[in-house]
Amino acid sequence: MNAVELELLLVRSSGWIAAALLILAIAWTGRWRRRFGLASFTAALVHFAAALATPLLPDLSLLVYEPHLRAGATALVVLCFLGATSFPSLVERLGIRQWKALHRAVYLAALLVLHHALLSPHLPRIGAIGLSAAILLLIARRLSPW
Amino acid sequence: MSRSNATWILIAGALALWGIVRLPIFALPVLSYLVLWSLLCRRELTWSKRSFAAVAAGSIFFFYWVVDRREEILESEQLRDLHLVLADRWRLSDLPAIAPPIAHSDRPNLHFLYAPGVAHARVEGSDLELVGLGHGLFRFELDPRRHPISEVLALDLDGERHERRLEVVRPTPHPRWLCTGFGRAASVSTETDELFSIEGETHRIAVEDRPTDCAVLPEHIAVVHESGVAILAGTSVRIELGGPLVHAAAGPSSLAVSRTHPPAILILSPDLELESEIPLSFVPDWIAFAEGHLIASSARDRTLVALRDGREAERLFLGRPVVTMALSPDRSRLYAAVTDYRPDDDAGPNHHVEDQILEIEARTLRLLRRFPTAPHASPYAIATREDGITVAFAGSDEVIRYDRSFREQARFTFDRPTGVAELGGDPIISSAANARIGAHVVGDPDPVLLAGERSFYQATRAGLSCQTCHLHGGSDYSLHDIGHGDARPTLSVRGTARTAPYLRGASYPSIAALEAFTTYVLGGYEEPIPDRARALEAFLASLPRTPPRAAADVELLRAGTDAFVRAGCNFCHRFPAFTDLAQYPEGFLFPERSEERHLLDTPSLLGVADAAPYLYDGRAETLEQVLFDENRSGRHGNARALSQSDRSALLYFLRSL
Repeated sequence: MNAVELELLLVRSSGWIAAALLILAIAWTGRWRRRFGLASFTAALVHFAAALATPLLPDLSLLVYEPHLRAGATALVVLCFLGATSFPSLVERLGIRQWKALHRAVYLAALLVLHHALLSPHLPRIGAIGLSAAILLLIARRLSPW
Repeated sequence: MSRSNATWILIAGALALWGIVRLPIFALPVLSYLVLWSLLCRRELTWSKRSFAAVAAGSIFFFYWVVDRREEILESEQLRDLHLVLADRWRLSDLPAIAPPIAHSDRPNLHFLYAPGVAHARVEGSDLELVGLGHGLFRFELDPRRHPISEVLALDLDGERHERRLEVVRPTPHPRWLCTGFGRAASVSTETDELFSIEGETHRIAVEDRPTDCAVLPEHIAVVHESGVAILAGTSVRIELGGPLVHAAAGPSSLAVSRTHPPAILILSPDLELESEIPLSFVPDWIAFAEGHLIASSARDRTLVALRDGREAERLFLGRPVVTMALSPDRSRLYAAVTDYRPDDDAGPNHHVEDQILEIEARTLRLLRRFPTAPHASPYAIATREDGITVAFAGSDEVIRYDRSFREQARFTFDRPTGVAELGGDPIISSAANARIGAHVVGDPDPVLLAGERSFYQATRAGLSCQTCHLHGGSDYSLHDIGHGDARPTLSVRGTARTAPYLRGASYPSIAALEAFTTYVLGGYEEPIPDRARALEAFLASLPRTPPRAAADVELLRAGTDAFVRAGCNFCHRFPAFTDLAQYPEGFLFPERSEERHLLDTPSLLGVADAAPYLYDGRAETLEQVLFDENRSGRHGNARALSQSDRSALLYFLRSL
């Protein structure tokens, strides 16, 4: 396996792990939700750092101009906000209502991740179907009154 | 309305902001949501009358804008026609996969099957041979002369049954150019193995496989096939000449045929005795018999070459390939149609090209005159007369007679003319797309393909057509700046169907998405064609790709496949289409060119032998240069680690695709 393959493997696998953990965080309730969320944020940071370290992301302006990179970067910004406000002391200071209002943005992050993944040119069929189904079902469940 | 409802207020506020700022990207409402939250997080958000009114007004604004600009949003988020991109990607990852997924019922088709882990593959109920090349790759040729080509391929892979669908293109007669002489004209249809002989009326004669051109001799008509020349005179006489044969020209007492591989011009006597063979340093295309010497055009070199006494003599560099050429009746002047004239080989500014006809002194290859044909675009065929020339314009439904000073004498209207002959009286005109010779209808074209072929040659208001650069769906072997600020070689569009997204930046999910370009940059089309984009797409899919050179050495192919995998080529140039349909920044594979920051797509390697120059800016002339000279870091395939014999096997394999 040469350097190119290793670099791509690192970027792709960290991306998939981050997406899977994000889905788990949305699906779970209780303590594990926060753990999954923070783990997903960490994996997303690794994914971003790996893309930066390899020449795969040669120019930060691509994060603005390239739609799928823009979606990924925006999702990462959302996760940064959520990660930074997931300490119990901060939750108390903000008030649970305000905190919830921010953390509902995780659904936006999930949609952006889906956009990012669907446009990323390495998506296997099973990954696309699994990711779309999981994210859309979770959002539908959240929005439905039952 | 006193209940705290911060989420909904933030959503409505973010959407309202989106409607006001009108930036067609999703990041804006998401970031607005976060920013609004940061601004308001210290306050208890409740619905007040004022906030309700503001948010309602903003939302209305937003909904109006989204409905109004939905196309723009889809475009800038690359969601338009996403299903086409996903469909191609999934078809290739649904193993066992076949590429290309299109077969032509009139010619041999080369396909690849990727079925990892399968040792024996065969097609049910057929003796079709699937040649295993190792690593799960199989190569097979669908030849309509030996196997009927059907839409469904029932595969038997180690006893397991799989069905895969093929799109089958069934072409109709295509009489392209007319060849003339001795008061007669003739044309061939490669697609339907026919010769059309026009002597007063049109006769259709079934000939052997795949005629490519014809020449009228005093006694009979010589038909050039892919590998031989035949005459039809009582008993059929045929001579095999190897390699793909392209064009023929009749001289006063002999016949010249151009052969592309190995490149040569073959001189035959009228009864098909091989008189001489002139080996060439270039791949010949059109040929003409001047007085005492031959003139050949080279599409790839964009040059006219005079051949005297079996040797290459004078050259005239045109900068663009010859679309068609014809000698004046006294053989003293040559008329060549070109899409532009660039003796300085200048790429030219953004899409500036000028269709024109060059008048050239046949004896010296000196350029006498240039005649830009605007506003009539795409001259496709030229017929010469004592007192001038007649030109068929495929781009504008016109056939125009000019006098010696290129003044218009008469004009005839014909639906997409591709051939013209002057035999006295009105000119005889043929149309390939319409399958017509004069008033004679020789075929019944599919209306969608017909509209697509018309559209391909039709001129936009800017005077350009697809044909202007993609000569008959191929390349003009030139560099163009189409708005990137740098010159890039024209790619052939043959064989690219079903590998979305398209163009080097992979920014177009479909050919239909290019319509905006023709509308806004090229001024659109004068004459509307209903559902042009789809018709054009169907036509492009129906164009066969250039067949690769024969590759008979299976052992060498296997070694090449193995070298291909070991060098890591198939990680991106993935089996079976030899592309993963992905994009990478150039600096990722070529760190020495890290200043290149665009994302470039992985091109398919099918037909790569004929696709020079290589790499997106055409900086490599040969595959060796791509793999070794332009690959110092070894990141674009680790081919430098291969042994010498593996390297040559790899090149043999690549040329067989």
